[in-house]
Formats: sequence, structure tokens, C-alpha cells
Amino acid sequence: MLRASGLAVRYGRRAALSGVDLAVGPGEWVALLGPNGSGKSTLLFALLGLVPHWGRVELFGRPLAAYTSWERGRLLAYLPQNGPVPEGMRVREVVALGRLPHQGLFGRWRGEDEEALGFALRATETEGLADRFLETLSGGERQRVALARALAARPRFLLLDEPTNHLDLDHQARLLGLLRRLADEGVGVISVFHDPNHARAADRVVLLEAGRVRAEGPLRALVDEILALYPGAEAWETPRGPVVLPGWGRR
Amino acid sequence: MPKRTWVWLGLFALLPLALLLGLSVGAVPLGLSQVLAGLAERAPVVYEIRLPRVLGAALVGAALGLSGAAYQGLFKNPLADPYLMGTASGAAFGVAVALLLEGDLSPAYAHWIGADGGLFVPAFAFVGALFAVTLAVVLAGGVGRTRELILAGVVVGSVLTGLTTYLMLRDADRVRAVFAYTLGNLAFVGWPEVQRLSLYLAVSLPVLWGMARVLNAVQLGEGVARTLGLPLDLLKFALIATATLATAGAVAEAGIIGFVGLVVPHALRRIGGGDYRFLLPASALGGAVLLVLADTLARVLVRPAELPVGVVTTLLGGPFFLYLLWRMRASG
Repeated sequence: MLRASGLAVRYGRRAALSGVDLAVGPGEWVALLGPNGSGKSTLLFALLGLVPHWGRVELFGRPLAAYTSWERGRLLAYLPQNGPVPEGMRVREVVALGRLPHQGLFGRWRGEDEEALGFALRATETEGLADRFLETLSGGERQRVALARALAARPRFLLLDEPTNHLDLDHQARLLGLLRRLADEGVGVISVFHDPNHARAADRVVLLEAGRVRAEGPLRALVDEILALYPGAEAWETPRGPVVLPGWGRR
Repeated sequence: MPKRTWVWLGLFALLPLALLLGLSVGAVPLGLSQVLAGLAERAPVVYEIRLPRVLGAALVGAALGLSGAAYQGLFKNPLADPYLMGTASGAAFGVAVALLLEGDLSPAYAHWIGADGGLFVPAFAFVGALFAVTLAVVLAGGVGRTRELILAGVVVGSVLTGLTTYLMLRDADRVRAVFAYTLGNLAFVGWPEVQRLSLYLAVSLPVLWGMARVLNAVQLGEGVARTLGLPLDLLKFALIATATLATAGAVAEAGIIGFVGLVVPHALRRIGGGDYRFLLPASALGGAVLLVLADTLARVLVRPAELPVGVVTTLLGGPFFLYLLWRMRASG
């Protein structure tokens, strides 16, 4: 269980998060939604211990700070939004870096590392790219490689900042399917989405507004809250549930 | 065979060739057999003058290539060089202060040119370089924030350069001595210098190479590197301290030699890729080859006089960057 309570983060004078409670269990997929600047990425940073914060973050009942950085790296994996593209590195080398928390600084590459690498490449359908240089890939391919790097650690919790970025519709669908499968296999998933529709396959949505939790629940139940938060959006009822789309000023 | 293997084979083949070339070229040109005989018999020209000089060039070049690669990796900037954190201006300032303290300049100059292997000026240069980097790290509020570190390095560099200029302007002899130092010169490298340089490299090469994975992870962004388990503040401190040791040592013994630490990692990254497990040791070897060749050129270009080797590397580095620019424009 990854649990945060009373979480607060300040950037200078600005409160980026205040009094946020969140709990995600193994096998559960929580989607974070909210307008730009509502604190979604900051919440991920705080859960990962990347920013100074008030409040408690606990992982399996122990404070996060009580774990070594290596233990944390084995349990939590992070996919940043728009990470840099390292020059002159091959896909295989980048994904292999995901094994660092298991290897440490001087450990050798072992059979289990190779297995995890293969799993990550297969899951993200990047095996065919393994020997390519990262700078020769398309935006969507790079995004899948970045996800493969996060998966290679075989973490208990995955924290993903806009994982559908740069992906075409088909690859968005595959990614959402992959996250669903991982959750069903017991991985806890926390993912930030810009497009509320991407939260469809998640178990639960947490809606952030100005650094606080505005509402929480299944996507279906939150449509009105979402429309209130995004004034330009409109909801369409479809046979397979509600869909939220950008309007163009006619609502 | 993978490209990196070819790079290794090439560098390992080039280094002994460059060293032999450096040994045979000079005021008295020697053939290969004469060089080998000179080494075997410990003949003064070969063994006391040329051998420490070419070895010194190799060690200084290796230190600059190595620390250049480390800084480029740490700052995720292919244009970072070993002097980014203020080492060069700190060392020049140290030299200016050393000459000031010696007071009587003509003997001081003689002392500096170090026919006796004097430690006074190199020690000041070394301390000056360490002082500049320490000051930059303190001003940046620790090693945590990379952008602040670069800015602080630039600030410290320009202030120290200003102070050095002020000290130099106090008399003409001093201008000459400090200016000669800033051009970089291997002419005064003897066995004691080679010993000290070997020591710096023996420490910095294994330590930095051991941290190659850290540099690889940093390329994914510092946030990701931390979530991969790396105690990054500690590791960044160790990286900066070690790269600074290598640079300060090189600068203290041979003055400020530009472009080696910038061009070598840059070129090797283009050929063999950006994996630092390859790039760090290859840049050390490549820097050694390049500086031995550059110093050989410095000795023959204006024979019977010599050019400071820093002038040669700068003259070689400029066109190399023009070539890169041209390549970038050609590929759109």
C-alpha cells in the first residue's frame, strides 16, 4: 500500500499541494486528473520523495524516508513527462538502466536482469528497436522506451506522468491495456492524464484542483465535477458510457 | 565488429605510434632505432627530456579528456569542458598570486619555468583551481542544482580572471609569466611532474569510470536518476571533486590547454555513442593521443622555436567545430 496523508508542497510562496490524502493498493490503478497547475505532477514528485514536503508518505506501512534509495528504486518506478533524450544511447542501454536499483553501482548484469529487460521490451513492443539509437526514434517510440525503462525495474508501484503523451490512438489503446494488465497482475499504478477519457480503464479517479483533492471515485460518477473544472469541455453520452471532449464555445 | 571495438583498437594502436613520433621529433631528429636505443641506454635527450615530455602530454591529455567527458555527462551538455567550473581561471589566479608572493620576479620566473621541478607555482595553481570550484559549489548552494552550478562557475571564473588581470597589470614581467602560463605549455614537464600527473590520473580514472552508470542514469534526467536509487547529491559531489582533481592537476603542471577536454569526448560520442562506460575511458585515451600529437606539432611548426601547445590545440579545435557546424547544417 502506498499511502499519503496531509501531503503539502510549497514552491517558494506558492502552495502546490495542500492537505492531500491518497492511498493506492497493489493491483489498483488510480488516475490523477486536473487542470494545468493543479498539482498532479507535484503529487507524483512527493510520493517519490523528489520534493521536500509536509505530511506523511508510507509504503507498506513504513515511512518512505525509512527505506534506502535503492529499496525505494526497486519498489517505485517513475515515468517523467517529457524526459530528456540522451544522445548516442541505444534503446537496450536505456532500458537496462531500469535495472540499476537491483544492480547497485557495481553489481553485474545477471540472468534476472536480462529477463526483466526482455519483459519490458516485449510489454512495450520495443524489441524491434533494441539496437536503435534513441535520437533516431519517433516521439511515440521514445515514450514507449521510457515506459520500458520504468517497467524493467519490475516495481510494485508505477508512477506515470502523462504516459499517453506522443502516442497515436492505437498505441494509446495498447498502453492503457498494458496498464490494466499490470494492475490486474498486482502492480499499483498511479497515472496522470490530461485527457479524462484515458482514465476509463482505471479503477478510480482522483480529481485535483489548485493543490487539493476536489473529488474521488469512478470516472462515470465524476463527469459533472470534471465539466465544472474544465469550462471548455462538454460531455457526450455514448452507448459505452460518457465521453468528455473539448467544445468550441457553444455550450 | 561493433564500432566501439574499432575505436578501442584504433586508439590503442595510435597511442604508441604518437609517443614514438613525439620521441623522434625535436631539435635533433632521431630515427626509430635511435629512439629505441636511447630509451634502452637512458640517453639524456631521449630519456631525460623527451620521454617525460611525451608522457606528460599523454597524462595531461588523458586527464582533460576524462574530466571533459565527466563534466559533459554530469551537466548533460555536450559543450561543457573541464574548465566549466572555474578551474582554469582559479589556476591562473593562483599563479598570479604565487608570482606576487615571490616578489623578486626574475628568479620567480626562472623558478616557475621549473627547470628544477619546483613545486611552488604548480601548488598555487592546483590550490587556486580547487578554490575556484569550491567557491562555485558554495555559491550555487551545493551540488543539487545543476544550472546554478554552471552559472556560479561562470561568475567565479570571470571574477578571478578580473583579479588575475589586475595582479598582472602591476608589472610587465608578471604579465609575461602569467600570460605564458594561460597559453599552456608542456616544455617544462620532467619526471617529477610525470609522477604527480600519474598519481592524479591513477585516482581519477578508476573513480570516474566506476561512476559511469551514474552518468548514464543522469542522462535520463536527475529526477529519474534519483528514482533509480542513486544517492545523487553524494555522487555528484564525488564526480565534481574527482573531475576537478584531474583538471586541477593537469592545469597545475601544464597550464591551460583548451579544446582537448571539449573536442575529444564530443568526437568519440559521435563515433561510438554516449554510453559513459565507453566514453570515459575512451576520452582519456583519445585525449592522450591528441595532446601528444598536438605537442609534437607545437615543437616542429615554427622550428627552431616552439609554440605553446595550447595555441596548437586551439588552432585545431576551431576548425573541428566549424566541421561539426557544417555537418549539422548539411544534415538540416
